[in-house]
Amino acid sequence: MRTLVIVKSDIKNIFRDKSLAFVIFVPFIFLALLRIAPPVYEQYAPVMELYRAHILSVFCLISTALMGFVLSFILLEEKDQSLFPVFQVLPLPIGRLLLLRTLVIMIYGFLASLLLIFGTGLVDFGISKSILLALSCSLTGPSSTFIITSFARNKIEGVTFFKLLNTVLMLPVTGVFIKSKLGLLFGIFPHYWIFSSFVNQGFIPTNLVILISLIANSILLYLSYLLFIRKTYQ
Amino acid sequence: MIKVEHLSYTYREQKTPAVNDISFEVKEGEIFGFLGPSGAGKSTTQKILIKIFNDYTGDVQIMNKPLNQWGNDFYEKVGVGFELPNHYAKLTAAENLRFFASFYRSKTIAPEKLLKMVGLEEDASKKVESFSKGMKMRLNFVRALMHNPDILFLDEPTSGLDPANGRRLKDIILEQKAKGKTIFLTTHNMYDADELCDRVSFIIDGKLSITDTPHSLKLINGQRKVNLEYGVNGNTRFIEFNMDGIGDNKEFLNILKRERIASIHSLDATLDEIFIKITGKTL
Ligand SMILES: Nc1ncnc2c1ncn2[C@@H]1O[C@H](COP(=O)(O)OP(=O)(O)O)[C@@H](O)[C@H]1O
Ligand SMILES: [Mg+2]
Repeated sequence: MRTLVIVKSDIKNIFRDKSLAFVIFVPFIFLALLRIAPPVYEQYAPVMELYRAHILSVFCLISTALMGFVLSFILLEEKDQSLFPVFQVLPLPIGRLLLLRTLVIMIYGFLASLLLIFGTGLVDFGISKSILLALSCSLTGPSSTFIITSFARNKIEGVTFFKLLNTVLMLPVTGVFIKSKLGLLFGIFPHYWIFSSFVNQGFIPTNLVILISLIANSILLYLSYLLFIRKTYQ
Repeated sequence: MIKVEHLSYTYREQKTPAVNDISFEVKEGEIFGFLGPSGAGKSTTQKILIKIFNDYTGDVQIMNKPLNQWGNDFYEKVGVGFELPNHYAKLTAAENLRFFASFYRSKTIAPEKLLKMVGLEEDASKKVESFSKGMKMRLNFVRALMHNPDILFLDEPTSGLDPANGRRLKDIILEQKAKGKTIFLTTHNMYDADELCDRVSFIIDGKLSITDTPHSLKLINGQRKVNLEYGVNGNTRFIEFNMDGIGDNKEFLNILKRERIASIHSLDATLDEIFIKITGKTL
C-alpha cells in the first residue's frame, strides 16, 4: 500500500516533467537505434562487427546511468523544495525510502540492459551471463544518483554533473580497446570491469571479471550512498 | 510534556550560540509560545525539539523520555509545521498529502478533509507550483495535523497569511488545544502570542528572558491608569486617572455622574511594549 503510493508519486513527478519523461524512454530509442544502425554501417565497414560488444556495453551503461539521473532529479527537486527536513520528521526511516527508490531504478536499469542485450541481438551472451551483465550495469543507476545529488546544489547543476559523470563513466571503455595488458590499468575505475565483462580481453577469466565488476560497483554504490547521507544530513 | 534544561546549540562555523542555555517546561494541553524577533533562535529551538539537530547540549525530555531515546515512533506522536513551505511542486495538494500520509503507521485524516479545514478544498487537485505562499503555508499547516499527533510544533504558523486565513488557522490551533493537544509555537507577532498562548517566553539572541501568561505580563507591566473621554458642549475632552483609589476620586466620579462619556480605557500594556521594556529590543 504505502510502497505503491510512494512509487506512484515518484512516477507522477517524473511524467509531469517533460524532459524526465523523455529520459525514461531513451532505452527504447537506443534499442531502435542499435537494431537499425549496425547492419547499415557494417556493410560499409565490416571491421565494426568486432566492436558490437563494445557498443552494446556503452549503451547499456548510459541507459542505467540515465535512470540514476532521473532519480537524482527527484532528489534534487526535494532539495530545491527543502523537503529533506520533512522526511526527517516522518516515522519511516529515510533509508527505507532510499532503498525502495534504489531498488526501483536498479530494476529499471536491469530491465533496460536486458532489453538492449536481447533486443538488439548484437551479441549472444547466453541467458545467465546476460543477467549478470545487466545486474552489474544496474548498480550504476543508484551510484550515479548519489554522486550527482551529493555535489549538485540544484537541478541545473545536476545536469552539468550528469554530463561530467557520464564522461568519467565512459573513460575506462578505452581500456577494452587497448589490446595489451596495459588496458588493465583502467581497472582502477569500477566501470572498466563492466566494459570488460562485455568485452573480455582474455587476460583474466570472464567469470572472475564479472565477479570483480559486481564487487567493485557494489562498493562504489555503498560509498556513494555514504557520501550522499553525509552531504545531505551532515 | 516538554521539559528543557540548559539547552544550548551552536551552528557549525559560528562563534556565538544560536540557542544559549535556555530552560522551560511545556505542560500537557497548553499552548506555549516563543515570542521573539527574527534571528532570536526560535526555529533553531524547534529544530532541536523535533530531533533535526542532534548535537545540542543540555537536557530535553519529551513525553517523559529523553529526546535521544526516542526512535522513529516519535513522529507518530508529534506533528511539525515548518516555517517555510515545502512540498512537491509538480504534485497537487491532495497528492502531496497522500504521499506524506503513506509514511505513517497510524491512521491519517483524509486529504479532502484536511484541505477543507484550511479552505483549500477547491484547490485539492491543483499543482502546488500554482499556489501562493499563503496557500502553501496552509498546506504546511494541515500536513502537521494529518496523523492526529499529541504534540504540535508550529514555527510561525500565521506568518504570511491574510487576516481571514490567519483567523482560520488560529481557530484550528485553539480547537486542537480544546482536544487536549499540547502545542509549542513560535511567533514574532505579539497579537497571536497574546491570543493563542497560555504562556509565552520572550526569546532574544538565543536567550529566554521571561516566561509567563500574557495576562500577567500585561498586568505587571501595564500602567495602572484609566483614560476617560467625554464631551462638554460639543467638545471632546481627555483625562487620565490613577487606578489606585479611583473609587474615592471625586473628580472622576463627578465626570461619570454629569458628563456624556465617550469612552473609558484602562491603559493596558501591549505585549510588544512589555517586550521592549524587558529585553530592550523591538519585535
Ligand atoms: N543553518 C544555519 N547556519 C548558521 N547559522 C544559522 C543557521 N540558521 C540560523 N542561524 C543563525 O542562528 C540564529 C537563530 O536563527 P533562527 O533560529 O532561525 O531564528 P528565528 O527562528 O528566531 O528567526 C540567527 O542568528 C541565525 O542567523
Ligand atoms: Mg524562524
